[in-house]
Amino acid sequence: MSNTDTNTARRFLRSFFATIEDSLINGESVTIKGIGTFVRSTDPEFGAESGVAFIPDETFAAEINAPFSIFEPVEFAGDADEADLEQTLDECIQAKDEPVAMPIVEEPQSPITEPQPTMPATEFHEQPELQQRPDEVDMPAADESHAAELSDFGAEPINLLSPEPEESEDDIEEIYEEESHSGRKWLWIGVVLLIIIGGLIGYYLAVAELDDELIELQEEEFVAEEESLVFEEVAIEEIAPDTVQVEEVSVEPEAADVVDVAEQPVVVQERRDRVTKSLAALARKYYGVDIYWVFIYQANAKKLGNPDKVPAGIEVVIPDKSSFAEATEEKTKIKARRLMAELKK
Amino acid sequence: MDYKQFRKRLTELTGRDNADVDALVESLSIILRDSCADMDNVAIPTFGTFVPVKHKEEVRTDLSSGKRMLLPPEITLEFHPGGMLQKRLRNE
Repeated sequence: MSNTDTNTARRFLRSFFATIEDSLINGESVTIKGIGTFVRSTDPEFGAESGVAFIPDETFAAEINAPFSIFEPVEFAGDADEADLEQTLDECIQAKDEPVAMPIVEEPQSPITEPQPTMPATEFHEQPELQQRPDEVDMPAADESHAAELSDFGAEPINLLSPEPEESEDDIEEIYEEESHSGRKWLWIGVVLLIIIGGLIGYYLAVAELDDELIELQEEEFVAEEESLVFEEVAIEEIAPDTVQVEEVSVEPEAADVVDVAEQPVVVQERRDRVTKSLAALARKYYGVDIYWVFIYQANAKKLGNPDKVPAGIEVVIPDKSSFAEATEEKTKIKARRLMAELKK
Repeated sequence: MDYKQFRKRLTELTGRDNADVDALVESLSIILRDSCADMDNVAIPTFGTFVPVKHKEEVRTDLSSGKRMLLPPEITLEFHPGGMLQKRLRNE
C-alpha cells in the first residue's frame, strides 16, 4: 500500500509505537487519525485495568463492526424468552454470510448511544434473568382455544413470536398520504357547509327585520291618519262656538253704481236675553266690557225706563257690537262713558 | 498529543516527510481494520495486542423509557498492553 520495503516498514512501526509509549509514560494521550486515541488510565469502564485505555476512532470502529452494522436496537417483546434468543444467535453464527432479518424498529433517538461514539452503550443494566416488570400483566399464551375465541369475535389470533410483516417505507408513506388527503377533504366539505348555513341564517334574519320594520311603518302611518282625522274634526268643533253667522248683504241692482256702506242697512239678527243680575252683567257676557251696558239700555230705553231700576227677568235686545262700536275699542269706551254721563244727568 | 504533533515526531524519528508518514499510518489502520473485522488479533511486540471482541446480542433495559431493548451483536476493538509497557508504566 505504501510501497515501502520490509525494513522501512519495520523501522516505522518501531518508531510509531515507541512514540506512543513515550507519550503514555509522560502522561500524555496520543490521538492517531484513522485508528484512535491511547490514554493512560486505569478506569475499568474503558477496559483499562492494565493502565492503558484505547478508544477507537469512530470511523475505524464502524468499519470493524461492518458485518453487524445493518442491525439496530429494537424493542424486546415482553413474552419472548432469552433461550430463543440464543438459538437465534447460534443460527447467526452458523450462517455468517447471511445476516438474520430482524424486525427493524426505527427509533428517533435511541438513548442507548452515549456521547462517546466509540464506546458501546454502557448505560443499561444487565438482566441476568428474564424478569418481568411489576406493572406488566401476564399475557395468556396463544393456543388453539384462545384462537377459537378470538375467531368467534371476528379477530385474527396474534402470534407474538412471529415477526410482523414488513411494510416498505413507500407503502407506509402512501397510506399516510391517503389518510391525510381524506381528512383534508372532509374538513373542506365541513367548512363549505358551515358557510352556506351561516349565509342562509343571516339572510333569513335580515328579511325578518325588514318585514318587522315595514309593518311598524305601516302601523305608524295608519295611526297618523287616524290622529289627523280626529284632529280635524275636533278643530272644526272648537272653532265653531264663537263665530257669528252673518247673512250675506243683498245689494239691489238699481243702486249698484254707488254703494254707500254706511247708509246701507245691515240686517243683523237680533239677540235677546233676560236680565238676571244687571245690564252690566249682560254687557260683560256679550261684549266683554261692563260699561257697554249703556248701549244695551239705549237699544231698550223705552222698555227699561230708569236705568238704575231695571226689573229682573225682563227680556232685552242685545244689539250687535258693530252698531255702536267705533274705529277703536278706546273710542268705543269713551263713547260709552259719555252716554253714561248723559244718562246720569 | 494530537495527530499533528505525533506526525511531526514521527517525521523526526523516521526522517520521512509528512506525506509518507500519513501513507504509512493509513496502511497500518487498514491492516488493523481488516484483521479485526476477521476476528484476528494483531500483536505488536513490546507494545500490546489489538483484540477484536464480539458482543452477543442481549436484552437491556433503557433507563430513560423503561423499555426492554434487544441490542444487536457488535464487534468492538480492545487493546491489551504488553508486559513491557505495563512494567514501564508501573515504574513511572
